[in-house]
Amino acid sequence: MYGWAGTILTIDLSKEQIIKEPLDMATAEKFLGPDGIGLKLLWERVPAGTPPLDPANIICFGSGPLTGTFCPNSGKMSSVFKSPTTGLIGVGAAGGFFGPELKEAGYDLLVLMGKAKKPVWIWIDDDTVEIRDAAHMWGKTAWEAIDIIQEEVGDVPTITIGPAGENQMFNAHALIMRSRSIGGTGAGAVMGSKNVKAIGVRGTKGVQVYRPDEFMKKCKEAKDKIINNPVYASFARYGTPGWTPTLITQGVMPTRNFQEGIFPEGEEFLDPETPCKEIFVKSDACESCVIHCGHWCEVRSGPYKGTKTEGVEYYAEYMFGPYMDCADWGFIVKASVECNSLGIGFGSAGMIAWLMELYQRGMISKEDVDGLEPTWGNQEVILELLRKMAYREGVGDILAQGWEKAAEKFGGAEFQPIITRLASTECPRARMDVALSHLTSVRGGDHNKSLPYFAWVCSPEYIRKNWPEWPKETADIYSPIGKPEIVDWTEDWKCVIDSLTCCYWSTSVLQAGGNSPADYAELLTYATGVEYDEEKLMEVGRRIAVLERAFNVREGWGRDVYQMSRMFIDKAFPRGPQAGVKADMKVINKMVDKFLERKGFDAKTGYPRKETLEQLGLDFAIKQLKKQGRIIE
Amino acid sequence: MRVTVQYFTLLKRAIGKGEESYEFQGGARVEDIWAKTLEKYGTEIEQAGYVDAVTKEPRSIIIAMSRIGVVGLKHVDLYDGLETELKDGDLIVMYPPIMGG
Amino acid sequence: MKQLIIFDPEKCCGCKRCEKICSWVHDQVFSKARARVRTIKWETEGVYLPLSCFQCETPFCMEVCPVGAIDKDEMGVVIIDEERCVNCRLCLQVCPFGMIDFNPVTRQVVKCDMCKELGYKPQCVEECPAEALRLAPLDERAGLLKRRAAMETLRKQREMVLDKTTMD
Repeated sequence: MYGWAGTILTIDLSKEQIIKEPLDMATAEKFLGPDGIGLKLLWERVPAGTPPLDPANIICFGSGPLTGTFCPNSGKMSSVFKSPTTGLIGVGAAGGFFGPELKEAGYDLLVLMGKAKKPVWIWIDDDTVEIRDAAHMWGKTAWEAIDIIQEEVGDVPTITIGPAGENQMFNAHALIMRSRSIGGTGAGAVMGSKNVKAIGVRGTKGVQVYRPDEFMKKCKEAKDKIINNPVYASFARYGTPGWTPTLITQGVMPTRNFQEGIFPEGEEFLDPETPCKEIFVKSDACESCVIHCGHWCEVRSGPYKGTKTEGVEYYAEYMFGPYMDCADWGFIVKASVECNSLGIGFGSAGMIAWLMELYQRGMISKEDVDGLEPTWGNQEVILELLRKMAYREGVGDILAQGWEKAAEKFGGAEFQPIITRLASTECPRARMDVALSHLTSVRGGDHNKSLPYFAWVCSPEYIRKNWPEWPKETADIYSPIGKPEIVDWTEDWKCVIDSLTCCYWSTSVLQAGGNSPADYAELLTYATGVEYDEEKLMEVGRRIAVLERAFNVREGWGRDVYQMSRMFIDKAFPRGPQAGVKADMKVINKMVDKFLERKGFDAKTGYPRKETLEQLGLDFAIKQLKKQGRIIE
Repeated sequence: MRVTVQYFTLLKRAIGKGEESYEFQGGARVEDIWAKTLEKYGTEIEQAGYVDAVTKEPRSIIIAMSRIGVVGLKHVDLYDGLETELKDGDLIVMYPPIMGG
Repeated sequence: MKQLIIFDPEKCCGCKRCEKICSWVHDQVFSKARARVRTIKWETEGVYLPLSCFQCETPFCMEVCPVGAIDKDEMGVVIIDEERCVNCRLCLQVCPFGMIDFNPVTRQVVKCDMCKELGYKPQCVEECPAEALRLAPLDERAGLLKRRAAMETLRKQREMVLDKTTMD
């Protein structure tokens, strides 16, 4: 076996059975990695309409054919399941060390199905796979669970859930290692619904490649391309907090629940040099990474002195920063640690900001919040509410059920930054790339699936040169022209990256000089012995992207799932470079129509066209959709 | 005519400051801003790798502009590149690109 | 000229590329578990320590080997003669640094040989993205360690507890 390990490991938790199946090579060639192979399994094994927290849902974790090899920045993993957060497809990728270790143990994919009768954890030690009792870990934080596991089996990579996952909070995350996560779409809640507290793995078998000499030569080229490109130096020093100048200068720094696009009072806080001085101790990296964009962080003064962790990055910075009107790096570290330990995705922390706006407007009183006063920047209340959400205490129980339930109780739906069923972190009002990518994202409205970052990072010349067939306005993120083309391409490409499983930051689209689809096709060919070129690789991406969208259609979601909150349509930022601009749904919907048609879906209904599925070898999906009447023939 | 220039991240570190303003009598273009940047900080930014050794043009940095009346911030290549004519109140932003999310 | 690998934990980012390339060079497989260089990570403290054999002047392992399978070669590198070695693992027990390993797959005792077969060009040093592993002449290594120890003492005496950043 080259590249791929060759085995899918399924654990039937209801029957307490361990099932190992060979990875079918025809499937592997067409679907590449967990996003594809796992998705196909999801389609085949989970009936349409299955409630996501039902034992009949499955959750897959795994890595792709480049993971475990020497390909730089290949140490990732991804996950596929039906999402309890959105009801759409749940997908997510993460770094750390679990993916490579699972591969080195001999498995491409781990599938959890059914539900254990009582709390368990899964121990994978090469060929030995055990379902172990987890009574002594249940109720503990994710970090405490990791300590217990490592005491029992040694320092191994882990996936754990915290109390949030155990309590099936709507978007509880699965924590990878101590600070990486599969978060946005509720992987932790699905694990919790199956009574699985954790997964630990040790692998000694290793990974082979088919044409080693060429592979290693190409790996060196790939490493040089990453290190020699313009973004590398900034990324290596700052990590994703280096992203803030872009948002500041565009006037889209989400502040106080999107009420403002600028945060001038936090100018020093948002300067990427500030965390370098205040909390970063040194660089940190995922497995096989050459960028080391992570940091080991320690708080050296103030109320959170002594708090330390790997990983603090942009999402935490803005969520527990301008979004809640704070500007304290010590608090960012503390909040990150709390979220990771409790097993809560940062996204749901946004609910606290939403409560703060309701409180600001007098729509809720402190009685509604168990006597707490959710005033802007109130760090104590923020930490307390995170805890309440994870343990489903008091008001936490309402918040843990999700945005809709919370709005039913408190009103204020018009202040929830929901785009296509997920709370957004980016503002879609003026930036057409954000509006389109978030609205049409198969996992719900966030930046992870199809936001073409490179429309900003590369010069417009780079886009014109590499895609001469696209309109010249493609490079202008404020123009709707060309956005269907670039978002469509990015969606396919991200599916490839999340199936290889490699790190997005090492690819050319982000870094105008990093590794391109053609580079990865070459690496893949040498690694696996299966011939890939750029066209074939991008077709794999498209196959996965189309199946993901078809899955959503199967689950009942049509054209009308692509909606954004009224707050983006009725309101505008009052200050800054994007002041006064509201989302123009007429223009935006035209982009959505064009994008869907381009993807092979009917713009009116949102259903796939039969020939789209046929052309991509997705015939197996046709029967079900036909039965439901959700396909265009 | 007054134009403000802002530097960020590693370019700011090389230059040693984050913002300054220039007064121009009559017309000016983005290349005039770049010429001033080279004049004042050429050694530092060339050492940091932000100047093409041969053409002396900017290398590995984004140059973008925020203009009154225009929504958001746009790469100067969406205007006329370095030849873009400046207007009073323009904000020029320069920094080596980085992504996040 | 005797050279040794210097390990700098302050620079190590924990990526384990060193382990991966080591297993590739020696075992023709990517398997961090079989590496002869190890990055020991204390994940709750952020301390990452890449280490491999110190190539002792008077190696403990060489002293105890009952079949004389361990010797120092002309470059001062401590080498195990695989033909002679009976894998009794006594050397594992006496190395005070834990830098001799037992390969779980080949079931052989292994240790760092400074990539002798590649002309003493240790690949872990080549592939480290953070310059946490570096080749240096023996004298420099000893001097560096001495200077480090002196600085640490000074630091503690001056109680420079807050100034811990190494991002510069």
